[in-house]
Amino acid sequence: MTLAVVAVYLAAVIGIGMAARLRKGGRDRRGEAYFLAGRAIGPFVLLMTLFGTNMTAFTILGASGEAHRQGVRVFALMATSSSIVIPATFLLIGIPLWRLGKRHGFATQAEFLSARYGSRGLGALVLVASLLWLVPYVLIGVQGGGAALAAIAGPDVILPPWVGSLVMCLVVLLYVAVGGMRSTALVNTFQTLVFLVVSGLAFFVITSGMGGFAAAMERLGQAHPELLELTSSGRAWIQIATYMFVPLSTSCFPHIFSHWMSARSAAAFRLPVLAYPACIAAVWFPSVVLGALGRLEVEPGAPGPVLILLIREHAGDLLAGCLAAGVFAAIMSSLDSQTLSVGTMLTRDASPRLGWMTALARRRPATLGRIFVVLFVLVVFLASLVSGQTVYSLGIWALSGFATFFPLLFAAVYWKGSTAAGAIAGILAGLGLWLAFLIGTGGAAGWTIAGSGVEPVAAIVLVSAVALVVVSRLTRPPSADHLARFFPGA
Amino acid sequence: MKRTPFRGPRVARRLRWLFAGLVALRLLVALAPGRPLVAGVPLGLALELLLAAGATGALWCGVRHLLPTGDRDDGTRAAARLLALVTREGRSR
Repeated sequence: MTLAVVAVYLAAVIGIGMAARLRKGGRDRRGEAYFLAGRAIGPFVLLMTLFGTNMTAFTILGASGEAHRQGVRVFALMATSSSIVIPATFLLIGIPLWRLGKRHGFATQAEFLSARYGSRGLGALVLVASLLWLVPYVLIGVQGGGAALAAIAGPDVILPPWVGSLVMCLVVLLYVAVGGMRSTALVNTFQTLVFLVVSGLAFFVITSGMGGFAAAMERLGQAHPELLELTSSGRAWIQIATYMFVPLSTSCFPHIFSHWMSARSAAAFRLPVLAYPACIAAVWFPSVVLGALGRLEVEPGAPGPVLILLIREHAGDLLAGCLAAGVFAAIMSSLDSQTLSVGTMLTRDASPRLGWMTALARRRPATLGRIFVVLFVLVVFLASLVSGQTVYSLGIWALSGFATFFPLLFAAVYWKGSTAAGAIAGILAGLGLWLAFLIGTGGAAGWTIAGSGVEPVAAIVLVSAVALVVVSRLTRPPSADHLARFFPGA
Repeated sequence: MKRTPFRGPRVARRLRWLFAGLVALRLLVALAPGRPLVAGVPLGLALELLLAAGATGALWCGVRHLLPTGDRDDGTRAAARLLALVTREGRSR
């Protein structure tokens, strides 16, 4: 029954994706209809797709798993910071970038930064670094989906995790390859709505099964009082403070950039900016609270994600299927955007540099994008079979890496004195430090610098910013004519 | 629809203080204890939820002063206002 509900849900996703595919008719010469939905996405779909894209297996399975270990402080750690920082970056960076993208036809970060700083080398570096960080981030979704389906199927049905991963990849591949951004945005809207409804439903059903929310929290407070605390030490407070750097990475994701570029107007950003905090709270609160309450029934180290175990314990087959669909919704709404953004980057940033692909990229960009989408999904699926890291640590390290771009994007929009050399120095410094942390810790999740509570992402952002500023100061700024293309009133 | 006037430096200064205050509050709230429970929600977590609501309020102030309301706007005015908010340029726009 559970798997049947999931199958119906996946069929609905495919149906919406196909129905929303590109309209027949006018030629898509520049690929903007395929890659950016013709830059015509309105406020509500923009909100749903920006929010849905950020909801991954990490948000649901990773966050509830962490709350199972650390308690409600996980909400303070990630959710509150995200509710302040992410919409603020939509406002501060998203809108100026949208304006420039619309005016100059940019579709990717590399295109924008190449033009802004007049450096093809910078564009190549941004492309390589983006792919380096995006692959582990995409793996979060693929592995999470496989693990979720295997756990939901239950002990009676032996379903290897790779089966769920394969199904998800095939479904996403189908509608992304056929319909591009238009299908992705509309499917994301459906998936985000499903996820929000199901998230609330899971919260209600599971807490009711535990004797009511207030009673369950009271019992948790008596059994594990430490799980109700936000900070238990100075180190914990420092960790919460420096975790505010983590959501900066959201504004640096290539798929978020693509969604910004797909907006119909600057006014379309109003709703996403204003409603984002409420959406964050609506998803993270149930996820974190259920993870913490899971300690009443699920011992640490139990096999499978705690949220799935709770669902199996308290929900009937039909509801378990709906909840499984909600988990899939969150995961696939990220996977599709990420996959499409990789297709966009490889078509618009990489292909023009490869002689034999240049002509195809110019004549049939959407076709080339579809080919890259297929190849990328294949590579990611195969990588998911051999990757051994946990979903959570993969998410954390990819997030930290992307934050390297934040000082650069901010400077590109607000600092006329920033230079190409400074931009390259900023990326290399951040990338170097990220690699040093990754290798030094062996990719361990939850690691802080010298055990102080300082998140590595804070150091990465600061080092990247310092390198950008110092090298920019030492090199010649772009000409006034060049800057006039990118700054209002310059 | 009537456009909200942007009163240059004063508004920019207020918005900067608003967001700085929000970040400061975020750091203070992290020190709140878990007990007592407020309708089942630990006190610290309840304050975190209030903080998210406060973020919406601060963003509303920002959006009201900075963003256009019509789809025809090409975003140039909003970009100029944001530039004035973040840097010392174009404060009279």
